[in-house]
Amino acid sequence: MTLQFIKFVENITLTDAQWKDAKTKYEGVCACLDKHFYDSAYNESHKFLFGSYKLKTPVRPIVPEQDVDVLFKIDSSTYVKYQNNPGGLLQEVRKALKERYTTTDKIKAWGKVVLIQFSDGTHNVEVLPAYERYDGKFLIPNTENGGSWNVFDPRTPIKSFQDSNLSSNSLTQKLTKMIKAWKRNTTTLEYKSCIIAEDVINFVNRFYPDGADTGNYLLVIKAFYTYIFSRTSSTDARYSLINIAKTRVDKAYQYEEEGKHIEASEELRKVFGDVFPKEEKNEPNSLENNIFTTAPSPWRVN
Amino acid sequence: MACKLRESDINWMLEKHPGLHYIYERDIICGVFSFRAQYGEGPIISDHYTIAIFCNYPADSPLPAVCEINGRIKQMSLLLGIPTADLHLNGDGTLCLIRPDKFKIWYPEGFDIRIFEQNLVTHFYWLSFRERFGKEPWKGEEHGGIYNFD
Repeated sequence: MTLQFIKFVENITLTDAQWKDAKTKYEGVCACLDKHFYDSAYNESHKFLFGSYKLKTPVRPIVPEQDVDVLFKIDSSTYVKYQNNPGGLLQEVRKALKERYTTTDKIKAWGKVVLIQFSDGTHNVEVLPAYERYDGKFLIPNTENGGSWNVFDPRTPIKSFQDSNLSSNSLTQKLTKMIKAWKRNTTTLEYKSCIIAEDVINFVNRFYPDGADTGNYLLVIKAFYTYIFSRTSSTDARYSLINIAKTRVDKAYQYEEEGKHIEASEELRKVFGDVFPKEEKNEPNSLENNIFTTAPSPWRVN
Repeated sequence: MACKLRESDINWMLEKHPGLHYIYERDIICGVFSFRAQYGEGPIISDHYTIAIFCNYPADSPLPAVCEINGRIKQMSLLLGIPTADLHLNGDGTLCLIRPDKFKIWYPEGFDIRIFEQNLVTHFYWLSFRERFGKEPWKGEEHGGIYNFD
């Protein structure tokens, strides 16, 4: 199943053209804000990418809900200007972007973000104006409940992810994408991207800190579902969906052990969708079925 | 009473399990032990474990010592949140294949490679079932007992 997993990861990984398009869009947004707030050309140090595009875990195919999350750093004078009016900053950001983007692109501001929805429906940019504190954390405006500034620390989870990914030879990144593919294929599943990343980090750090060969990815997936299933309460809304996925992956593993690659890939397609490639042929093995009703201990069989 | 596998035992095991091979210098059979088994009307389980069988184990045991060498049982214990002892792993990393005081029941004529192989199959079936379904396929023996060779 090694080739199937290589292809699977490839199928859910953004192409170079898609990365380039995303980069063009978020840099364009930040360039516009640089012009407005600093009266300068695009300055890369004013932006801070976070979320899945920073972790390089967005999955294909691209859907409109997939936003590029980017912080745009404001200077202290802008912060002081809006210290008592955080909503005003969001409106100024919105206004600056409106001047640059066409009427076919939609720009919305609410809560903590300004969202730029592009007419092609891909790589929409969610920009958060933010003031960077001395400790590396950010203050971001929040218009809810009368308006306030909230502390936001994207660096800590990014570092955890990157450390895990580095030591596991990219397993953290690949597994996160696979689980996201499962989430996408399971429409009723509520599983936030940041929680997926957190679960994957904890799992990989504990069970595969040095990574795993692609040939063992089915075992890794199997272990991951056993891991989250054993840690999910039966009252959790995700419980039955995790159980279904776990049962299918266990079945796929069983088929694979019997050399039934086609059936194994069909089970995995039920979990991950069509992005998991079909196997073309089986290689049934000659293992005889050992039926027993008593076991020669240490087990007691009545 | 230590156990020493005969050449015929080793050859029988290697023929039965092509994934295993014998390391002469160390007197160890090791490699992949694959099985397809079913307990009664229960589910068929196909699985494999990477093991080492010590053919000439000096300890006072009528069975060869067996270790699972890929860390799968330890991982299983962490995944399921249960102690390794409850997955019948001894403190020294060997498998607890039999409760010593039940040895005579299952090996009435003493060590037999065929019974031993079946012993391994049922042992691993139990483990894989426990991992897959989160429960025991049948109730495991409690720990304890000593060998009685009389």
